[in-house]
Amino acid sequence: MVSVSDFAGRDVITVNEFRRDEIVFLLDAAAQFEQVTGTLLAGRVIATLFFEPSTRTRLSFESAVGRLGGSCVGFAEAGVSSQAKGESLADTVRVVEGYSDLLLLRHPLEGAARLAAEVAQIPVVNCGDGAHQHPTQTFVDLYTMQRECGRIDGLHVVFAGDLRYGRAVHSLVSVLTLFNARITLVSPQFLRLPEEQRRTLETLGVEYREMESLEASLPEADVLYMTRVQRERFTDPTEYDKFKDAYTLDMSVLQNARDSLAILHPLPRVQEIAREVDVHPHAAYFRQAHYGVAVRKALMALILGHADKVLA
Amino acid sequence: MSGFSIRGGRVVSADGVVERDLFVRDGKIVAGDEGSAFAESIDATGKLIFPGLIDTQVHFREPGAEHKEDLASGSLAAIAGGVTTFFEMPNTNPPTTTPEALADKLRRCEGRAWSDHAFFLGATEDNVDSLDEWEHTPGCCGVKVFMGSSTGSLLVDDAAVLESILRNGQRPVAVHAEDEARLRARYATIPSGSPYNIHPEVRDPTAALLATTRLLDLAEKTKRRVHVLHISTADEIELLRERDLKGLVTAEATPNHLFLEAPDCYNRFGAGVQMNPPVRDRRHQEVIRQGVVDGVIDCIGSDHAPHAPEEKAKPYPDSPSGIPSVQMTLGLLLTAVRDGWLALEDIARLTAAGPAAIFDIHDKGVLKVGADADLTIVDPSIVQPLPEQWVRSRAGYSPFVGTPLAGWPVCTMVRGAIAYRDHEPVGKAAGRPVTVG
Repeated sequence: MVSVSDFAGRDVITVNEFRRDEIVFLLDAAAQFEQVTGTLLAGRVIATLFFEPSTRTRLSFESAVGRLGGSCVGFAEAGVSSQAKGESLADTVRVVEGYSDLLLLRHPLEGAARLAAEVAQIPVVNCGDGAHQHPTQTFVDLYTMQRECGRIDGLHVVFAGDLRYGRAVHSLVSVLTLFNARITLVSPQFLRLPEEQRRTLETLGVEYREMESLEASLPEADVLYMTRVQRERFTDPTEYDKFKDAYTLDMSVLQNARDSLAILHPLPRVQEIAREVDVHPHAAYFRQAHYGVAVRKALMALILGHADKVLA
Repeated sequence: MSGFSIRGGRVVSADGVVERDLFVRDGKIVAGDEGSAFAESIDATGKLIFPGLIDTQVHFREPGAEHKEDLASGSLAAIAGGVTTFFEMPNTNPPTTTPEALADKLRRCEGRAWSDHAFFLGATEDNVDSLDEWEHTPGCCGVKVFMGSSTGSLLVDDAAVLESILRNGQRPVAVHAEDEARLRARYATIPSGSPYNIHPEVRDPTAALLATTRLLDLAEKTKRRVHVLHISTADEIELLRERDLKGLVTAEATPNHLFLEAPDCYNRFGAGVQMNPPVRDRRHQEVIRQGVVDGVIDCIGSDHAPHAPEEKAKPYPDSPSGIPSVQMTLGLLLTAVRDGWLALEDIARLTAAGPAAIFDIHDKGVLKVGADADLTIVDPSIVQPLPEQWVRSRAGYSPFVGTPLAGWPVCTMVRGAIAYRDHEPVGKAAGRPVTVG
């Protein structure tokens, strides 16, 4: 049985450190925290050490802290001056842990969150690193499916667009293997899910298929997870132009889908979802961003040992 | 050579860090539509890919002092640290002050130098009239002037001679700027056997500032481009910022001045960290770091200057100056990224695009279609303390051994050929002369 004590004081560095029952527990807690505001974290200080800018993630966390009556200290971008003239990361952590109860770290280098967690006596949450481990984003994606579809187990999830480089996709695919999901991967050959990931799916016996046509993938889908194709990925700009239009979701493409299809996107979008889709009742991507606050409220309350006042 | 791809890495440039594949054929970066058919591939998933470093200040000691280092051992240390191009200084024996001496160095590199390379021509009172012609010698990257810190013919402490050097030629002139008269006066006062930690007082900030100020005045007067080597003081950074001579004056910082700090480093390593101009205290270090971040500094060169341990053991001031660090630049800069005061993009700017722009090096410094496939693949998961056995310089020591790493190069390619992988050289030394201008 999972209990609040399993989360107290815990570092959150990758999603793979979480068992299925722990994730389910966290998502249930998030549901109960959705409407919670107040003073649960009154007097608690959360340090946001953002060594590279990530405005969305930082705002989501700061909103969650504010809703629960806590406060944030930190910086949004590194530099010699903001960084105490080039103090070592280990020293920064040792200083800041004396000012705060929880450390949120965003950093361009893989391994920095792990290092911070080793140095710090207080818990550390990885808010994105060089290798794009971003565990709270994955929890938010799962929570969105739970909220929009009422369940995660057995859902048929279509991933479309850039599956090669979209690390949000990689983390989510790997966690969905814990939930008996059916997975359809829609991408041009060039942007397929990496072989290593596909092999993992096969090893785990996960039912998945790959296709190139977005329209053909939709009829049986419960969830469509769109991703953006970034221009910078391409050595040659003409290649980008070839691929960029291949996966644009608009109302005519949606004709092939069930009315209940939930549409997710980690945002920001470029052109891969037409503006006309925004009014679709199951266009969930803005709600997805909002759910992030509930998930982060629950996670921080659990880590700081205050969740039992809310959880039934 | 058939083509191959490097897949899944995060490619670093001065403009950003982007996960993308690179395609290489005949030693050059080619476009994806050409390269997507290449059967052979190197997996760089989870790795960072940097343009090969261009280290425009090294001393490899050959000819004349091969017991300290030679072109083979120095360039091996270079590729071990991701340096795919080096520019070597003229204070060898004999000094590189003629086209013949420079051609001799190029010949010595054949089949022995692991990195691509070019050599500075040393300016002297005697060769000043020939410099405008000689600077175009094949394999010559420019002219080097020692305003202090050298002996014999290479020392130029006469203002009139310096001015005529600047008036004779077009290429950027790289300068070691310390005021020789002040240095002599100060050395005369110290007894032999003084502690090594007085080195930054003997060669004090004023000595550097006086010479650099004079140099900037002359650059402005002659309109000749000058490159100020190894900035060591906060005062020079402030001077460069104030004078704002961008386009005419460029400046270099070394990893030694960025990552070593007096008095601590002298207490720990003694003569091992003695170099010219000296490593100074934290106040200077902070301002140089700021200059590196905000663009006052245009490039980072290692000023790799090895000596044999028994030479370094001599009492001050007979202990020779110089720190072997050509292999350390990239690893140290990655710790600055971990510590949050530098971005990955800054590393590419300072070690590749920057030097290529200063010295007008074609087809190197940026990993774009048509450029040489000079690159180094960094494994960011290597976070152990730097082990001594990875150090490749003949000097055999480094004050940076034991530094907790934040990534380290694991594979270095020179024009598409792997030259160093997993801490071992691969194949044969195949460095070639670089064309500049």
